[in-house]
This record gives sequence, C-alpha cells and structure tokens, in this order.
Amino acid sequence: MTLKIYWKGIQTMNKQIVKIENLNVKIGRKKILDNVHIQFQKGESVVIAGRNGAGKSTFLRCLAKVILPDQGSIVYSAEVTPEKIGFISDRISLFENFTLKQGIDFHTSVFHLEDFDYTLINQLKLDLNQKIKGLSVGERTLYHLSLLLSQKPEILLIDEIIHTIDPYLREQFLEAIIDLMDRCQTTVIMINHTFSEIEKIPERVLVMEEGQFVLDEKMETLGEKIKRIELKEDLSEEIPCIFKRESSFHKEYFIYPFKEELKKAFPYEFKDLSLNEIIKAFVGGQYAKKRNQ
Amino acid sequence: MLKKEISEVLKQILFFILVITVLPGFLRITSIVADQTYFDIFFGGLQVWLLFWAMFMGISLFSSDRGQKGMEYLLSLPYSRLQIFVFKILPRLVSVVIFFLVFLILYWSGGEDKAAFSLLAFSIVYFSFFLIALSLSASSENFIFLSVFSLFSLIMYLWLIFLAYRVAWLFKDIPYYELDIRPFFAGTLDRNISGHILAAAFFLLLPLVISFYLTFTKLDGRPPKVFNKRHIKYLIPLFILGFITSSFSAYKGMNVGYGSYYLTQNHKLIESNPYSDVKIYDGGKVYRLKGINYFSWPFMEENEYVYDVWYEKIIRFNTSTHTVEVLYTIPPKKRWIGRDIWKYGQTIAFIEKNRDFTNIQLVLLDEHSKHVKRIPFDRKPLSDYPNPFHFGTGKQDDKRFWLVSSWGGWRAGKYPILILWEDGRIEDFGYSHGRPFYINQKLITTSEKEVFISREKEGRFEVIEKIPNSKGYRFRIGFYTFKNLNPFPLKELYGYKKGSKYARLDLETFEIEELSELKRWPMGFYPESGYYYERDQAASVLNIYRLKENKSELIKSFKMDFSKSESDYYFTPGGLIITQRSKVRVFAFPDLKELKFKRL
Repeated sequence: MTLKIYWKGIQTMNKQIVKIENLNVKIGRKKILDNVHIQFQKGESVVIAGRNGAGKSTFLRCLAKVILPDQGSIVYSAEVTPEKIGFISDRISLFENFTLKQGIDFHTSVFHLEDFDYTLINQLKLDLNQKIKGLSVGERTLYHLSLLLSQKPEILLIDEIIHTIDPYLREQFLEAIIDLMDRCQTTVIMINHTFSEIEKIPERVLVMEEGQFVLDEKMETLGEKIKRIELKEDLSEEIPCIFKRESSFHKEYFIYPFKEELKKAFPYEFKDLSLNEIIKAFVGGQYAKKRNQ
Repeated sequence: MLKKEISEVLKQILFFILVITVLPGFLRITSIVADQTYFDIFFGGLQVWLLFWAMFMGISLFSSDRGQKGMEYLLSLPYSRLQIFVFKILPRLVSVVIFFLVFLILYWSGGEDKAAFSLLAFSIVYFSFFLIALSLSASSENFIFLSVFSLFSLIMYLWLIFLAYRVAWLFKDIPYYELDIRPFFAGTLDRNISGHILAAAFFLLLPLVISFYLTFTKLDGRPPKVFNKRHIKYLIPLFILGFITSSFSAYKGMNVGYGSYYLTQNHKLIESNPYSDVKIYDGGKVYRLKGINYFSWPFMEENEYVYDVWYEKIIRFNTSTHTVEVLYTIPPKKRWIGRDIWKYGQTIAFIEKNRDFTNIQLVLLDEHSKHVKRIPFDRKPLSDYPNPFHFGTGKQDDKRFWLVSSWGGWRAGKYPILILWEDGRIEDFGYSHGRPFYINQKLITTSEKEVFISREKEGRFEVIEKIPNSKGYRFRIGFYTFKNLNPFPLKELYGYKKGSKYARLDLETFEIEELSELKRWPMGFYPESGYYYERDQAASVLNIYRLKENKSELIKSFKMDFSKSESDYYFTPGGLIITQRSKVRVFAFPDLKELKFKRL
C-alpha cells in the first residue's frame, strides 16, 4: 500500500516561534551539538535528516527541554508556553504502568487541559482501562499523539517514530498531524529517514552532521539546488559534488549546489531527485566524508 | 504530578507495613522465634527494616519512572526541574519522617531495650541513608547497583565522620585516641561528643544534598554519566568544605582532649592527656616524653623526680633531664592493691596480690637497684577486710618494721593494724577507730573518744599517750604528704567531725584545739605549710588560705565562674592550676604568684 499524503497548503505565518543560538551539548568529551544557530517559523513544517549519531535527536530533545544545553539559548516566542510544546520521543516515553484513562487524566491535569480529544483513541478502538504497556508500538504512538493533540501545541516535536508503525496507523498518524497544523498553525519538526510517505509534508529540510546543520533549504527550492549526473567517466572537478556512487556500469554524482550555468558549461544531463534521494545523497555524502577522514 | 508521586509512595508504604507487621507474626506463629513476644520480634527488626526503607525511598526516586520508560516524558512535562525536585522528594521525605516519628513513639513506649543501636546512631544513619541514597538516585539506572553503592557510601560517610574526628584530634595534638565506632552505635558516647558528631554528620551530609540539588536543576535525558560528572564537580569542593567544617566542629567541640596538669614543687608543669604525649613545660621550653601518653596523679615527688603509675608500671619522671624511666612492671599474675604506693629512703613500697586475691604481699622496690623484696602478710584480721594499705615504716635496733592497715575498716570504724617486722614476725596491734598514722616515729590511732600515741619499745608497740577526744574528731593528713614515708617533722594534724567544728592536734603538746573558721578540708603540703580554699559561690570568688600552727592567712582570691562546667581548679604540691576549657593559668606556692609557660 502506497500512502499518498498531501500537503494541504498550510501557509507559514512567517513569524518566528523559536530562535536557537549557539547551542552546544556534550556527552562526556564528545560534542553532540556544536554551536547550532537556527530559527523556526510559526506553522512551519520541518524535517531533519542525517546519519545516525549526527545529533538530530539531541537537538529535538533540547527543544523539548528533555536535554538542557551546556551552552546557548533556545528562546520561544511568548505564545509557546511549556504546555504548548509537544514531544514524542523515539522511545515513546510514557508512564506505562498507567491505564490509558489514568494517562489521559494525568496528562490533562499536568497540562491543564479543559477537555480531551478522544478521536484517535476511538478510531483505534482502544480500551481505556488497559495499561499503556499493553499497547503495541503503533498504538502507543497514536495514543501519545492523542495526548499531545489535546494540548493544541504551538510546536510539535516528533523523533524518528514514523517508520516503526504500520502503514495503516502511519496514515492516521500523519493525517492527525496535518489536521493539527491546519487547525492550530502548529510548527512541526520531525526527524525522519524515509520520505516516501511524507514527501509532501515538509516545507523545509534540514540535514544535520556532526552536531551542525549542513543543509537548510526550503522544499520548493531544494529540487533546484541538487541534481544527479550519471557518467561513465570521472566528473570534472569544477562541478561541486557532495556524493559519488559507483557501480560496474556507471558512476552517479550528486551535485550541490547546482547552478543553471553548469548546464551550459558541461554537456551532462542534470537529473532531478526525489526528497528521499536528496536525503540519501546528503547522508551518503557524510558517511563517505567520514570514511575518508 | 504530586498526586502521582504520593500514590506511588503510598503503595510502597502499604507493602512495607505489610512486610514489617506480617513477618514477625509469621516468625512467632511458626515458632522460628519462639521465646519472644510479637513486639520484641517486631521492634527488634524494625530498626533494620527502617534503614532499608530509608534507602529504598532514596534510590527509588526515579526507579518507577525509569522502569516505565517514562523519564523523557517526565522531563518534557511543563514543570521546572525545581518543581519536579519538590514533587518527587516531598512525599518520600514525609514518609521517611513519619516512619521516624512512629519509631520514636515505639522507642519510648518500651522499645528502647530492644533497640539494636542507640537513638543518636539510628537517627544519623537513618536520615543519612535516605539522603545519600537520594543523592545517588539519578546516578545509575541499575537498582541493585544503586543499593550496593548507597550502602557503600553510607559506610564511607560514617567513616568520614570519624575521620573528621581523627583530623580534629591530630590538630588538637592528641594522636593516641583510638577511633572506635562501637560507642557510637551503643550510645555510650559522651553527650558533648554526641552533639558534635551530629554536627559533623550534618556538615558532611549537607554538601551531598546541595550538590544533588544543584545537579538536579540540570537533570536531563542524557546518560547518567553526565549527571554523575556534574554531581562530582559540585560535590568535591563542597565536600572538602563540609569535611573541613566537620573537623572544625569536632575540633571546637571536643573537651576530652583537655589536659590535666601537675605543677611540681620546683615549678615545672607536667601536662597529661590520655591521648597525647606527656609534656613538661620548663620555663620557655616544652619537652615531650615520647611514648608516655598519660599519667595519673603522681603519688610522690622528691627533688627533681616525680613518681607515677602508668598502666602496669611504676615510672619516674626526671623533670631536670625531661626523661622517664620505668622502675617496676607488675608481674602478669599479680595485681595492685588500691595502687597505694609509698616511698621511704630509696625504697618504694606497695602491696600486691595474686589475681585470685590470695597471697597478699608488701613489695619493697629499691629504686636504684630495682631489687624487689616481698613480705607476705595474708593473715587475720587484715584478710577479713579488702584493700590493705601501707602507712608507715621505721627501724628498731636495726630491724625495720612496716605498718599496714586496711581501707576496708573505714565503714565499720575498725581499721585493723598489723606491724610486719623484718625478721618475719607479724604483730597484731588491734584496731583504730579512725585512720591510723605513723608520724614523727609515733603511731597515732583513735577510739571514739580518745587519741592514742604509741611507739615501739623493745620490739613491740606500746601506747605512750592517751588524749581525750570527747567530740570524736577524725584526724587526717593532707592527701599528698602521706605518700611520702620519709620522716620529716610534722607539728600538727587537722581533724573534723561531721556537722561539727574542725580541730587541730598539736603533735608536740598532744593537745586538741577546736577551730571554727575552716570552711574546707585543708590540703597538707607539709612540711612547709598547709593550704585550704574557700569557694564563695555567691561572689564567684575562690579564696586560698595558708594554714600553719592554727593561723590561717588569705593568700589570694580568684574571680571564677563556678557555673561553667568547663571551669576547673586544682592544687598540686607546687601550686594552684585554674583551667577554663583550653585556657590554663598556673599559680605557684607559697604566695601563688602566676607562672607563665610558653606554648601552654
């Protein structure tokens, strides 16, 4: 089953919702986040990609206050109170000994929610008296999302969770997020590795490497800035290549940043890439760079 | 959030109560412990259970959240770290306090006798264990590791309390004190020390709590090693500060280390402390007698020598060369009798017995050759009374004799007297109502209404004078002088009767003269003078009088605060010593001029 989730055209409000400056996080001697500067706008949908251990999850946890940075600042706009930040960890962290009802009551009480939206829970036909630990990973994710949706969050942070749930629940999950963005102008920042299902969601793509963002592009312009060339011979050194893939038949070169002048200067066929391929190129490029080091 | 934490703690409390109440019942019913009541078993185990409870309450701070994989959810809740700190700790602290109060009620309602440790020890260990475990709760995700590490930390913590004392003692220059944790648990510590142990325990615990709080304010979802590193960063300087404060508290608070002092007649000051080397202050210098860490009150002083007993040895200080010499070591199967040791000529005389209280002997030690002669006298009537003592010696036709009596005759007013002759003969002199003396080659004994003066004549003692003593005065001699049996002319003895006046016995005219003005018992530092003191409590004044030939003369008055327990004063043959805590002032006889010793 192929999911086709379409972006419904939510307009970014162009209002800054969070400003991150000079963010540094270390674990032991290792720098996990290295002097990160970035801003996010209200209603913006952002996907962060990067190889494992690049610092993506740490970055998200910093935004969710789960990790307190060693240095730097995260300044939210006035409307983003702590109750308005929603975070789903890749570990789906909840108090699992609670029943669903207890979990809802707890969350409602702690986040001072007046009512709770049972829509997702009803769709899944979950028994409120069963314990959270009895839920499958997918159900637990949806349950957690339903808790967060009730917060009507200004900013929703989703760590690498989508690929762990089955296509049916994934569809529900993504629909719920899109609906939330539609209703509340929520800023969604998610980490993901596979983009086939969500290709139409992100407005902005970030790629993180070694604790820094190495790519920060709007989705609409990203396709124009990165191209692929298939050749049998070596690529001219004048063309900026971020990743090379070789097979016995041909060589693939991923060009970034691409400029129209390159088309005139070189007789190559510059092909477009899907989001998935773009991310693969960047991540692959980082791995290759790491190997060469 | 608070409700969640309370609910969790309540569940744990219920489980705990179930265990501590059902288990003793089970042990009682199954007769595993048959000879004790339910309360005995219950309270006997309660202290130990409560310690586990305190530890569990500490280390379980995050165990439930971690067990449920809820740490990240917890940290993402809209609370500050301070709020989370309060929400999590408050119910646990309350439960620990409530259980402590319950324990106190049970302790004071009959549990005291069944308690395994003293209340002080239990209180310190209980709360420390909780706080130590609490401060380690975020250090690891492994519950068993946390339990073991908490227990280890508690042991280290208790050891550090005593180490703080060790440091304090070293600074107080009392290195011989042996650290022993048993009195702490048994509750036999001095009250003053107990207070300062409590203070030391507090100052050592405070850094842990502060460091934990500071680290907690930055608690996050990173691995525990990040938390630990930060914890250690705060803890080390705070802990050093806490340890110094603890040691300082112990240093300031201890009074067990104050020395006792003895001023010799040649104005040298000997400082004795059970835990330090003996020191001799001689003018501007201080001499340490290495290896001699204590002396009791010296029994004799003669010229530059001061004689004393040190454990099982008779020792002699030379205050001129600042050395010490062991003159005699009691044999393994022997024991002292009352440790009354006397000296005449170069002979030191004392009484020994076998450890089974047989074979009473007068031991004569030549202080130069260290040769020992033993004269057994284990016979009636002396053997009917405990604690024989030697009180005089003399010579008749080149035959020496020794006079012995028994302290055991004091209560009955019957001091048996034996005269041991050098040829082995033992003469039974009968009894004296009051303590007998041998002064100026005369034996002085009493009945209820008479004083008898006897002297040896042809190998036997005969009464040569009977002095009426209708009021029944009991004559005594100064506590120091009678240790020295070397003959010197003594002109008078002073006596008293309870509730009556004092009296003076003139040893030349054998007349008894009543006195009324003496308010305290005179101290006989003869032959020069006798002294006595008067404590004027209302005026806070200590008056010192010299007494000679029935004339008393005020030498000096000292302003003193008698209400302060740290204040003390005592007399030695050389003068008066006044101490207030570590401050020492020394005044020398005869006119009580103040002596200054450097580094005192």
